[in-house]
Amino acid sequence: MAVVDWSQLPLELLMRIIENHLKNVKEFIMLSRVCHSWRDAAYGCDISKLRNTWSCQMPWLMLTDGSFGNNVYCHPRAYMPYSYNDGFYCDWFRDYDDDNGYVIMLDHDETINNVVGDTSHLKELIYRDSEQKQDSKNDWLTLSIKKTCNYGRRVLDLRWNRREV
Amino acid sequence: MASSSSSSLSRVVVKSSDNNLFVVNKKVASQSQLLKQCIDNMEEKGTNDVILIPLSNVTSNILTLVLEYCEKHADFADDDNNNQELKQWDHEFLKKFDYATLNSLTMAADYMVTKSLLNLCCQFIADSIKDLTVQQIRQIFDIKNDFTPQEEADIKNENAWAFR
Repeated sequence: MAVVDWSQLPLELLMRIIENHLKNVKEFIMLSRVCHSWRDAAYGCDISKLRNTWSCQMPWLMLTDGSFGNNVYCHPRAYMPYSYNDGFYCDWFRDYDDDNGYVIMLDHDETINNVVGDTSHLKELIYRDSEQKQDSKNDWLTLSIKKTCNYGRRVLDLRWNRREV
Repeated sequence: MASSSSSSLSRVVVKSSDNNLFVVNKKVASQSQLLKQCIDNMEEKGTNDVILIPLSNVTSNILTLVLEYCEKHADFADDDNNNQELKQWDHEFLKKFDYATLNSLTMAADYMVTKSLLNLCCQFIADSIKDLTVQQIRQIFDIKNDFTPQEEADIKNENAWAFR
């Protein structure tokens, strides 16, 4: 039987898989990092169309590595079930918010799950300010990254903002 | 043989790239748009001979699998698409194969325009990527990392598009 090379799968087939069968941005990113031809296929797709398909599956907080300034986003209808074995603490994290919370981070380790490339646990990075226990709607969720920048949002807010501590 | 203008062909012969012949009943063959097109064309011309369709891109072991799929689906062709038994069968069908076979099968489904099989394969591939890291994906599909370290570094800084 002929040797099979998955990197040689025709572009149109790869694009078909990407456009019609991927469910979220995480799968897209993973696939696009496999090899040149898969990457070409991924970026040959109409990305704005893909984003629409995923719209209810974007994470509500997403950090890219390095410059967090403009890259902290959240999405109101985010949902992506979490299933890494060695991942971030999604179960715990879900407790934080009403529904579907989870965090996705891209770091130097090329995995999505290691927060900012060091040994910090997400658990330690994110905490709920508890001064205002009576009024949980105004609770701040705070995310501290390497103690150099903090982001916070009120429970019902959607966007994380840089926060003075 | 009496000739009638419609459905004069009940069987076709399909030839694999390694020159094996498969006799396929028309209903089964029609699951593949490529074969169906050939049959329709021949019928339009009013041919009554058994026709031979050579498939230069499909080896006989893969063709056997495609035809197995087509046969099963031809049995259910008159049912609605949501037949539970068929879905279950589809699911079990692909699970039997290694990734090399899956690759050839996907290409064959594409070439023979067997849309439901192609969808099935694509979904299966997408499902196997789910929850894996890049390394793991390379491993199961046996793909070499052909990025240079510099390219890898660049790629990691490149994902901001998702949020614009």
